[in-house]
Amino acid sequence: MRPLLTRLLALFRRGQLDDEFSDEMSAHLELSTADYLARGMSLEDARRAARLRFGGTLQTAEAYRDRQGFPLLDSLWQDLRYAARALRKNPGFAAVAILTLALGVGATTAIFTVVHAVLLRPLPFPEADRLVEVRIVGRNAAVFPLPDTDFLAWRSQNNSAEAVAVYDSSSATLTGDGPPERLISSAVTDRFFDVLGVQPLLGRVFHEGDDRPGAPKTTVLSHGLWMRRFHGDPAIVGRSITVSGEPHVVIGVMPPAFDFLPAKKELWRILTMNEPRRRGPFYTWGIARLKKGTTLDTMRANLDAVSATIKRQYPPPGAGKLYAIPLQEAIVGDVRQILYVLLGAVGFLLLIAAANVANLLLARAAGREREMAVRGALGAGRARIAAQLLTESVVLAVVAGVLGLAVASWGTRVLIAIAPQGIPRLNEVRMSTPVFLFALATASACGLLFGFIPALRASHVPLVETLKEGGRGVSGGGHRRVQRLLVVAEIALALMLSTGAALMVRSFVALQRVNPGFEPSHLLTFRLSLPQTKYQNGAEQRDFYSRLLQRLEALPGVRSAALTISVPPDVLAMTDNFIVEGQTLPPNQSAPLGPLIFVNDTYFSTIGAPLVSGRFFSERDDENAPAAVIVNETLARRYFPSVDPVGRRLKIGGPERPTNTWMSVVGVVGDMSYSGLDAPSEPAVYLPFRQATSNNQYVLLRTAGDPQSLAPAVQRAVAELDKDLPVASLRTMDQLMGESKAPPRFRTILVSLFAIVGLTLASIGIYGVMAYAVAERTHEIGVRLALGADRADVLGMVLGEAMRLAAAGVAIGLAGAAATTQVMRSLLFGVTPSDVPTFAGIAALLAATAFVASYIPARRATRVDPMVALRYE
Amino acid sequence: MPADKSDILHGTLDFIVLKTLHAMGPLHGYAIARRIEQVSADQLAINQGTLYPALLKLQQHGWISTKWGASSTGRRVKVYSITRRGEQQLTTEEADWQRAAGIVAKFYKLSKEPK
Repeated sequence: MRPLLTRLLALFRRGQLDDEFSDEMSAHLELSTADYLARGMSLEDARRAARLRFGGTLQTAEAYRDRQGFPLLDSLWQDLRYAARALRKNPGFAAVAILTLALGVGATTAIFTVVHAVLLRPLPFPEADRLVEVRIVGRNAAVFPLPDTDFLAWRSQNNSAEAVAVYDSSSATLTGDGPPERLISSAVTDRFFDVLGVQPLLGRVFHEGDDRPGAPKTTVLSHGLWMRRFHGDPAIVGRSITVSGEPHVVIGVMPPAFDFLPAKKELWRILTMNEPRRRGPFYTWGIARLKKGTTLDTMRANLDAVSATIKRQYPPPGAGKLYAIPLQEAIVGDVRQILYVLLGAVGFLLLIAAANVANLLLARAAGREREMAVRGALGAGRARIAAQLLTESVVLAVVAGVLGLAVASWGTRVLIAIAPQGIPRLNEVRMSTPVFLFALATASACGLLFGFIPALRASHVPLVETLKEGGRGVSGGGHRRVQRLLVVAEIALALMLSTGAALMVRSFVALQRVNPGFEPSHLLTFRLSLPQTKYQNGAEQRDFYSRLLQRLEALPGVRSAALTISVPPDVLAMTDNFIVEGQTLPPNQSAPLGPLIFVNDTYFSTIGAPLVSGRFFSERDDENAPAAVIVNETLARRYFPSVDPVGRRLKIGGPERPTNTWMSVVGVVGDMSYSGLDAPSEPAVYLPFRQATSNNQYVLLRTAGDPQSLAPAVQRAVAELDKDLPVASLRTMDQLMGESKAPPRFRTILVSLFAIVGLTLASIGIYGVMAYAVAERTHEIGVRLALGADRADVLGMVLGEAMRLAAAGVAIGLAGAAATTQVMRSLLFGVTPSDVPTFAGIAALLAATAFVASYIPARRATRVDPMVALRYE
Repeated sequence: MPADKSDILHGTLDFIVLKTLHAMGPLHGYAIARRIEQVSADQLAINQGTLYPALLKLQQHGWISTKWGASSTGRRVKVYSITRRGEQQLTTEEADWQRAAGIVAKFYKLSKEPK
């Protein structure tokens, strides 16, 4: 330890120490000389003897210096200074290399930042690895929420989790203390907060037993709601507030950081379950905290046992069984694949950038062979030369890494700004230590990787030949081979990346062309939720909605108004089983499933859905009329093949609900998607509003002009009927359509951007290598021309060489793309991962790019003046 | 005088220098070199220069200290003396050396066992 310290200190007074030592050495020599003189030698002989006795002064001084400081550090410092000088001397090269790499590292780091925050970092709860989500998995791995029956059975038979709970994502209306407000809320069972292991900021969270039937209704507020609505008043705890028409006692306030995904909740209500009479509705999601040391498999076995008892009580066909997956996986969901595809795409970009820089370095190293040979001749070891070249590339990489971090920080902000809604945990994205390490590691890995090849090659420069040849690369052939390999790799990578991007673009175009089945322009939608305390039965609710529609239709600019519980393209409120009369279900197969939508008589005409046969609903389809139902084309085609369904009957629910009434099909309408534009069409069943009423309704307005301009009038119309009723999700259909396409647009734009940059880099790479090859062969080309070669031949020769490289790259890239695009299968729509026209088109694009990029150097080759080229010799 | 002067046994120069300073008191570099040559009766072939990195190392360990002084001829020289820590180190090294020498000596005494 002590020697290390003194040596470190010595670094700072090196000059003084050097002086002292030379003084000491001369003292030694003087004393030694004096001794020899005393023995009778002549002064000259004495001096010589003293020198001999002492040994080499230079070597001694060197050894002394080494011992004094850190020889490796010294040479590193020297290399660093030399590298900086070399880069400064060649700013064009340095700038291109650094910018290329910074772009690659920056883009990769930006995506990694998001991946890290969303996928890799544990959820912000204590011991989050013990948290699981419990859901129902049915046939074809379809995932459903839980019904009360399943939760109650699970809770009573649980032996694998410390605590279990379910939550729903019902919204709530807050009235009193100001204007009515629609809140994103969640009803949760008693141990919800215990499962997550979180503590309140104020008051308490729900206790075990708070959800018994008959217990007082309680609620916990989010920090945001507390500050916004109650001005951070701590006296709120213990007060009663009106949530969805019912008094609830506020028992606690959560800290600002608490958030339970996917949507930011503002309020949690206690969820009280009465003894269920049937297995349904399916509306809650389970969460649980595994006991310490218990595995997920143990829990799954536990859940299987629970499912078995449920099966005995509610015989099949029922929907699926209970299944547990890690909570993090559940929250991240589909986003995982998109993010990994993005990370993969940007990784390709980074590789292309690195290959480009490696090419630049190779070309540079080739130009410096003479310098290396001179250094070698002067006694620099091969390792020393390699180390120096490596240092240069690492310096390059580190500068690029730092710049890349800046790019990443900016890129991450842009990413977040343009990201579609629905990517969970995006608010947790920030540059953190792992991100810094990632950027640095990526940059250094690139530096070492692409610095390694030139360094290795340079350390094998044959000294004599190189010096004799006057500096023209003897090992140029080797350089060229590596450069060509790199170009082939770049083309292959660029092709893979572009193919992925092209498939995404084609999917997106296909999505744009999807016929939504209705007329989206000039539509305004909003959501109302009538509190059941105030509108206690269907009749009261129907009455309210009828009066509302009258008022709305009376507004100037409104053509018609309608009601529905689900809105295309992706708001689906309810899905249920149905059975067509006469249909027999194979054993162990549940009844078909599809969207169940309650609509009023003006819905289809307002939204602009075509009638295929029969009739739309009318005002006469009321509670006294025979039960009527309208089906969509998919249902008609699939379950009434080759007959007109009008006049046939079906009923809602599977055979486990035999008391449900048969309903007559009165009409068939065109398909509309309620689960996203890219979802396959599902069999949908529409019920008339007067026979199937919900207190939650979307209102649809067909307008004459800009639908947005009607928003204030709509707000007023609702307030005139009920001042405590908030208008929620007020949106034009154009906005809804846009939001629905936002995620594919986002990933398509990103991957396309990466592909364009990758393609540009690859073409720069081809250009660079061909230009270099032409420059290197100037003499040869001159000789050819002097011997009578046609300029067209020369052009063909250079282009031919480039196209051979391109062909190799394209072939490899096509094979690679065929393999890699498979992973994006589920992100594609209307195009298969191995779509031949796409592959062919991109291959042609790459070939064309290579042609253009090599045309300029090829043209230059034809302009070689034989005289100049020969005189050069 | 043997035909070949032997190289300094690896790692023993430290010990030799410390012992010299211990026995002789403060000395300058040239005097140390001379003293080592005399004691070994000129059988150790060292370039006197190699002494200096060794002196630097001992200094870095804190086993010897230096100050500037004057030689008998009045020349300004760097004078080395052994420190307390150096004395301790010397004791340890002496003990180690003797133990090692003892072990080697035992092997020398091994005679061929009758079969």
